[in-house]
Order: sequence, then structure tokens, then C-alpha cells
Amino acid sequence: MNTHAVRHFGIRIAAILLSLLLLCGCWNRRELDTMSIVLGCGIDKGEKPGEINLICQIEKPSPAGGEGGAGAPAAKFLNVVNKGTDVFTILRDCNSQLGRKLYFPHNQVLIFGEDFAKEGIRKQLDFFLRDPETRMTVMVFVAMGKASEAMNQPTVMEGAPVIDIVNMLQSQENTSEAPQIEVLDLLTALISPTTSAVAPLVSIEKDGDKTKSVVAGTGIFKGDKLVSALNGVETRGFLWVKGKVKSGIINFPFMDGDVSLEIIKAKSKVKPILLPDGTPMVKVEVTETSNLGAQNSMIDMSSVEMMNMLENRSAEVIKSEILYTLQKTKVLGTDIYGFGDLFHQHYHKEWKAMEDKWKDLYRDLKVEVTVKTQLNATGKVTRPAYPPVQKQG
Amino acid sequence: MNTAAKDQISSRDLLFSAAAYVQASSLLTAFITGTLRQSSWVGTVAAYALALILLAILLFLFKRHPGMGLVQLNDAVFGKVAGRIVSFCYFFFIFTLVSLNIGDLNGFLNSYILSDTPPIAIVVPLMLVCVIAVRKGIDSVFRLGPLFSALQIITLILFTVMLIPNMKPANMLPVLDLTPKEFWQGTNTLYSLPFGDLFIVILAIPAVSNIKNYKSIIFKGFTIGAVITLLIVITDTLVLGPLLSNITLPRFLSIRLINVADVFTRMDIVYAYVLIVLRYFKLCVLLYVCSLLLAQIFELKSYVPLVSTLGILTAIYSLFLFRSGSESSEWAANTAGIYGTFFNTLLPLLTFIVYLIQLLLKKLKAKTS
Repeated sequence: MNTHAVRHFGIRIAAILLSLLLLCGCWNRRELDTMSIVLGCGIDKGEKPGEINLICQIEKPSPAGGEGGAGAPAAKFLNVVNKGTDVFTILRDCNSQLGRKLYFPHNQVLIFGEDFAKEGIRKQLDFFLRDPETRMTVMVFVAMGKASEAMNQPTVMEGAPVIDIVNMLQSQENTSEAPQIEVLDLLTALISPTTSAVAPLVSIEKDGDKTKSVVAGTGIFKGDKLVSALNGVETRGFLWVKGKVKSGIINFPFMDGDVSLEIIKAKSKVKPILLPDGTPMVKVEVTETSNLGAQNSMIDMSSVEMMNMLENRSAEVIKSEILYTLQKTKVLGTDIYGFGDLFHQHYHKEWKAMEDKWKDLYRDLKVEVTVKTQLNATGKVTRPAYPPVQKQG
Repeated sequence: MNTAAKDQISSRDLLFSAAAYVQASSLLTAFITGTLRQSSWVGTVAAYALALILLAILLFLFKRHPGMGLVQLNDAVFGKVAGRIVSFCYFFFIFTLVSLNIGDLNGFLNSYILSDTPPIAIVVPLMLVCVIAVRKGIDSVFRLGPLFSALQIITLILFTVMLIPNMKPANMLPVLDLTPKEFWQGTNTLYSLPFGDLFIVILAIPAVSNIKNYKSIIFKGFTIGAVITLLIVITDTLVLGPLLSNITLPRFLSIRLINVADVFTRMDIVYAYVLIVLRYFKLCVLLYVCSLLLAQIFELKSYVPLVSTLGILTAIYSLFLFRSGSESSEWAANTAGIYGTFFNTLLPLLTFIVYLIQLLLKKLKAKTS
């Protein structure tokens, strides 16, 4: 091997070693036992003006050898609470309390306390949008009361209360009484000049002598301030228009009893229309498919005639839910549906004149709701558990 | 100077290398989407059409001067002194381009992956590998072009399918809700830097291939790269919609949203990998052409001794090119278009016009004599 080749070989080896040394992330190494994995964050209003309380729910690693032995099992989480005026500064203080650096990529939940949300969330939200570690898929909630209380409830199935809360929200698909809002959705609404942001509500209910978290309902923001709330049924009225109703039960009195229809699927089509005189109008078309879930009357509802009547009645119920929620938001002047953005998308030239007046235009906005329902099946039985009605001779 | 490669690459390798060169810029699209917003895809199509015209002009000039590189072409058109000045302008453009690309990659790695690592610890090994690759022979880098291009195409298809649940067709609206100035500014930026500098690949061709008629190969490769860029822009618009102008890395954020049955999540590392390999490819081609141009300007026997020096200089230059990431983003959105247009549009146009004038004068002289 001549000198030239040896030198070249040496240079290549040096390059490989240098790359191995510098680029394996040694500078950026983060050992697992130096990290506190954050599962959820909550922000409450502080005692002093401008101050906030930040709660970080951290996963507590299990002790080696399992948790055997007598006595209550150790909590699998730890709530670290600190106060200050700025989220980022408070988080650095948390690091010094714990002796470990907070690790955000596994954060699943962001809960705003009611009092804090009423004063505005925008300023403190910025850290969660900007930091490279945090993710835009974090679920956002508003706690009725304090976020710290919601994050400290006894767990039902999971090790940490925030995971319970996320699971409860995901199981809301069965009732469609709370929207699933991520930080990305919240950001999209907050940067829109006309759309009002929403977030699911988490409240604390008494269950005997215990308390538990319940996820149901929707908080409505005006700008970044919480102004009102929708209950479960009103939330469904909102979700019908957004096309986000996946399942649920439609209950209504019918004939001599009550009927429950199980929603199988639903979708919506929303079309903005600018009338010749410049008045905005929105056409909402909801298509829904359901099955007969239960009835407590003695009438046989499996006939085509009865099914048609049930379809018409359920369409009326759905329409009334939609219109009720719509009217409530019109009174508040909060366009939670994003109708303004729809007009911007479809009529961007005319939108320039409408944008500043949208709050007033929304209050008087004509919304035409059409609901088409289809009843598919009656279940395992056709007639209820009553003897058949004898026909008069 | 003998720049011919020991082993020639095939036309397929050349085609996908041209595509990979364009694809290298398709993953950092904030400078397009920040200005053009939901009209980014229209700007991409317009920039592609403009770049085709520029490419056609350059290929015409090279066809009329067979066997000549850029420096010889400029000498023939402008004369020796003016030609060398024009060639030096191109050299400066490509030199800065190397540093800009290093800075982009460094900025991404420092912000998202290796935030505590000093930038120099990333830049030095990166340029060391590029210098070794270029000194070894640019044909070995071109042979990797199809692999890198295919890697991005496959990941693009997979990510697009996985992002379908996050896509909202309404996010494509409103289209062309911009002033003409905003539209042309965004289109010019896209045309000038990622699309317009494809001519640099043409300068590297004589070293890697004996193919005489590479015109159609370059056009096809450019089209593949432009289509990939267009698909990326469309997907990001469908997913992010009005957030496009707020986000520093739209593609990165889109991929971060992927969640398929809680199994396929956190795919952002794949994005980082694809970005690094494509940028490495582009850096090698740029460094090679930069060294080649300087060697031809000073009539050196070989470009190889210049590679290490230029590698070091571009690495150092990249570290103080911009004071911060926001300065870099602002330059990319507002100044890069004008800066790039001078070198990859005005200079070639000037060369074309002067060449035509020379042809006309020759014909007139032939008629009178």
C-alpha cells in the first residue's frame, strides 16, 4: 500500500470516527432516568393577578419487582404544581423541584381551569404550540372548576387520571356528547378572525361519598375567553352540523311510549350561499342512518308505515337539536361551526366586505336545515314482548 | 482538464439524480407556503413552467457549444475577461448555495433533533463526508440518486395514504386569495432556488456520462422532482389549510399528525432521514460543480485539490451566514427570489441575448462580405 492510499484510508477512518463521535446524539443524550414523562398538563388561575398555577401530571415509574405486599397500591402518577406568570418559566422551576427534566412528547392532555379560561388562554397556550417537543395532537379540555381537581380524581381503569379523561373522551363517540378537540383544531379556530373555538368539558360529579370526572358538553370561547357552555344534547346539535356524530341514542316519545334509535352513521354537507341581494345563507344537509334500539310501547313498529313515521319523527328531533344549538350560538354571537371561514373559502372576493360585519351577520344568518334519516333494522325481534293486538272483525 | 468519470452512469441514474436534486428542496417548503398559502400548488405549477423556459435556454446554449463547460461557454460568448467575470458570478452563487443548504439542514437538526449539539459538530462531519465523496468521484454520488429519489417517492406515497383521515378538501380554498405581488413573489422564490438551480446538474453531466442527448433526460427528471414537490404542497395544504402561513415546517408537522390505529405514529424521524440523505446528495453535486467551476476559471489541471478547501470555507460560511433561523426564513421568503433570479435567470438570458446578437452580426458580416 503506498503512502497516498494509506493517507486516504486514514482520512476515511477519521471521518467515520468523527461522525460516530459527534452525530450519535451524545451531546443530546437523555437517559430515561433523567426524564420525567409528562402525561398531562393543566393551567388554573393563580391567586395574584396575572399569575397561573401549572399542574404537570407525571408518570411515576413502578418500583423494581412489582407492587406486591399489603396496603394500598402506590399511585402511578405525581402531580407537580407550580405557580408563576409564564408557562415556560414555571416548567423550568418544575425541573429543579423534581431533579429531572420534564419530557413532553408523551403529553396527551391540556386542561384549562374554568376561571383561567374565562380570562383568556392565548398567552399561555403559546409554549404548547411553539416548543419542538410538544405535539399538536394533544387533547384540549376545559375543566368546570379547577384543572388541578380534575387531574386528581380517583382513577377508574388507568394509572393516571388524565389517561382516564382521554379514554372517556374517546368513548364519547358512543354518545356524541363531547367534541374531540386537539391543539391543532384549537389553533385553527384561534387564528380565524370569525370562528369561535370550542373544547370538551370535564366536570367533577359526586358518586356517593366519592367524586369522579365526567367528560360531557362543550365550552365555547369568544376570542380566547370562555363565555358559555353547551350541555350533552346541545353538543350533539353542534356535532350533527360538523359531521362528527359517530354514534348515540335518539330518544323521543312516540305513540303510547318512548322509542330509542341507535345512530349507526351520520354525515353532513354544509354549503354557503350568497343570495342575489348579498345576504349570506347556509344550507345544512344531514344524512343519518339508525336502527331501532328499544321501545316501551306495545305497538309493532316493524311495518313500513311505522318505520317511515319513526324516520320522520327522528328527523324532526335531529333538526330541533341542530336549530336549538344554532340559536344559542347566534345569541352569543359565536360562530362555532366555522360558517364565516366557509364563506371566505367560497366567496373570497365578497368576504372582504363581510369579514368585519360577520358577528352581526351571523346573528341574522339564515340556515336551512334538511335532515334525511333512514331506519335500517329492528333488531332481533320484530314485535315487542306483548301479545299481538287482535284485529277487529 | 480531464473531468471524465472512470465509470459512466446510465441514463436512468442520470434521470433520477436530476429528480433527487429537485426533491432535496421539496421537504422545506415554508418559504413557499408562508407567502402563497392555499395557492402554493398554483405557484408550484407556475414556477415549473418558468423553470422549463430557463432550462430550454441553457440547454440550447450548451447544444450550440458542444464539448464546452460553463466557463468555456461564457468565454466564447462574452470574451475572456468578461466571460471569467460572469463565470465567477456563477461560482459565487453556487458557493453561497452550498452554505445555504448546509445552513438549512443544520437549522432543522439543531431545532428538532440535536438541540444541544453545537452547530459546528454537525456541519464538520457532514462536509467531511461530502468532501470525501466528491474527491472520490461524483459518479459514485450520482449512482445513489435513484436510491434517494425512490426513497422519497415511496415515503411520499405512504405518508399521503396515512394522512387521508386528516385531509379536508375545503382546506384547498380559497385559491388565489392573494395580491398579484404576493403571488409572483412566492412563485419567484420557488422558481429561483429549488427549480431554477437545476442547471447545476447539467454542469456535472460531462463528468458522469457520455450521453450526448441528455436534454430529454433532464426534462423528465425535473418533471419528476416538480411533481413530487407539487404533491407534497397539495398534501400539506389539504391537511393544514389556514395554518400553512403559521408553521415553520409544514411537511414535518403534517407527518407528526399521522396516527394510524395507534400503531403508525411518530413518523417524523422518517422525514428527518429522507431530508438528510437528499440534502447530502444535493450538497455533493453543488460542491463538485463549485470546485469544477473554480478550477476551470483559473485553468487548473484538476478540481480535486480545491474540494477540501471549498468544503471548509462553505462550512464556516454557513455558520455565520444568518444570525438566526428567523433571519434565514425572512431572507428565503423576501430576498431569495430576487437574489436567485439574477444568477439563474438574468445571467443566462444575457448570455442568450449576447449569443444571438453575435450570430446576427456574423450573418450580417457574411452577407456583406
